[in-house]
Amino acid sequence: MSLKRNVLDLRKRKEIARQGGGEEAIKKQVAMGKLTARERIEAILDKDSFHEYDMFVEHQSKDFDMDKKVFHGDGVIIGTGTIYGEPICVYAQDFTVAGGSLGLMHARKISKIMDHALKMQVPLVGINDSGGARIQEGVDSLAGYGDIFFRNTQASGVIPQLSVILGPCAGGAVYSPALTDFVFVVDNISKMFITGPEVVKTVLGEEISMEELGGARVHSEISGNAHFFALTEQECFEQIKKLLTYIPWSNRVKARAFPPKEPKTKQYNIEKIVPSDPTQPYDVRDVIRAVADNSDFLEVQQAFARNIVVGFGRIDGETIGFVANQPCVMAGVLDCDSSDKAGRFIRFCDAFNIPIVTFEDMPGYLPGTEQEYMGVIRHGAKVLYAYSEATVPKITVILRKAYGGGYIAMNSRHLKADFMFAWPTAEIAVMGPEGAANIIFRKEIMSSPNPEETRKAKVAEYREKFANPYVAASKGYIDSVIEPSETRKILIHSIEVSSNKTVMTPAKKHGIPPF
Amino acid sequence: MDNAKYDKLEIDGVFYKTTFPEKFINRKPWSAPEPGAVATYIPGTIVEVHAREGQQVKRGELLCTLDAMKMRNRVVAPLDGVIAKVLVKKGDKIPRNTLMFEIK
Repeated sequence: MSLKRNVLDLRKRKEIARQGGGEEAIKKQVAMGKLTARERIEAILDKDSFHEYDMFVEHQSKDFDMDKKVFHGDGVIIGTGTIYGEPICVYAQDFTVAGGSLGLMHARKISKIMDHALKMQVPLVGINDSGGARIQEGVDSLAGYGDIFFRNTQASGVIPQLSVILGPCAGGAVYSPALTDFVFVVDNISKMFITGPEVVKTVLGEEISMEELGGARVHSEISGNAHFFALTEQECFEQIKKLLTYIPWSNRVKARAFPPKEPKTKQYNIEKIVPSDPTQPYDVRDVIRAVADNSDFLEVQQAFARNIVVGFGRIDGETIGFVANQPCVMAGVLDCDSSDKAGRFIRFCDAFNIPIVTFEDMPGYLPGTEQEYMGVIRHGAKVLYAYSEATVPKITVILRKAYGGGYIAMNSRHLKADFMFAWPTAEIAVMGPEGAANIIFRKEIMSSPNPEETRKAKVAEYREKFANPYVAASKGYIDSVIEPSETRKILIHSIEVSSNKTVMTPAKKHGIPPF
Repeated sequence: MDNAKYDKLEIDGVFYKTTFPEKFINRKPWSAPEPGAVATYIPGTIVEVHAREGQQVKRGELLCTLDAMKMRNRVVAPLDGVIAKVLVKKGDKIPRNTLMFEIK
């Protein structure tokens, strides 16, 4: 064969492989409102930047007449490409090829690109759209899943791993996304569960639809398994690209800095957001936007445990992880879900060299049997653990309430916060004035001829004396009491000062966080 | 083995003899959520009821103020509709998951 014929032959082979599951299957995929695996990769990556590997890989299985079947690329596309010029590794399961089912070679391809990502220290984006294990391949298929889970775990905290759920992801398959850092879901397209509705019906007798059991909204609002929710695939891809601008390639480098931009102070006037009456609610995201560059804030887990807000922004061009109590949702209490949400986000920031800014305004932990039975002790401890363990720059600004255990948990000086600031509206105390007065002055109140009046007087007395930032400041637990309008300037300065922060931690294999 | 002591659990079409912990036995079966039912998500005291029966409300409109966890929480309508029932009044101390309003 001449070179030209060789090249033509190669092109023909590629053309065949690119057809995936063929016209019929692609039509079905489109009818489900989904893009094909190849379209998805192209939509996420920079134009013409995708380099595919293992295009000609085919399955090796023989049982159940499998040797008579050809699955192009074995149902998954892998390769490298760039997003805004920065390299990533990517894989996309192709539902048009044998339902994207995972067999040995399919898994081997995913493992290959994962190994590559870890070795090259670049982020990994995995697009999941698969009917699950390829039953015909038996235990080989399980081995494939196990190989992927192991690699997810090894890569955890080394490179960012993003999972995009664009179809079914059921049974064991869900554990790969669960082990990664960020899970993206799309309304009506994503379906994630350990066991499907049919099994739920036979075992428990409960009838439930796929959407209600494991749809995108369920995982974004109730279970918290998903971090980003989109209405369309295109919106989802924009979220992925946006997130990647905020996070670094690996744990060895910092996130790329952007040109600094002033916040939109007309829209977000920091002096007008927080009511000084501690019982009045407000949206703490406005405080974040009032200090963040260009008032941009990429919220993570926006609809889950809304009583705490976490997400990325920039201050003076540098990526910052924001953690903030949300007074307008459940008064901003810490509970099981919000502790999980915050703890995990803090650990991501710490692993990837992202400074953490905490805005605190919370009355404490949510009381009640439900929380206690769910293990709020264990879950709440995650926040303490994550903040204590983190060695990235840690800055706290107390806006209003900082009471009791919540004060300690929310990145206090005692957990080694680098900078502790408080607004003059801050109330830093062992508990709220009402509760404290009732305990400390119980005898006076009970023996008073007018207990209610005495109680009110004592509450006022306690508030006057203790519900302010100056007691804590007098003990050095707070570094400075600052005017709200100075907040951004002081944050910029603190981040600059801590850019060379060095911390020695005791040698250990790993800690044992309260899982 | 005393069979009477064991329950049966079906997994993948196979029945396994086993026992169930209390937590499993007492679990609440799943039921579809009612979008117009507004219940407390936090125990507290009703400070003010702003909506009345028969009133037309828009999503996000204030229904009542709930004092809980040292905060005047705003309880808002989850959807557009008409208030079919108001089940709370000013001063009520109510636990979590108490139905406050029904919107049709």
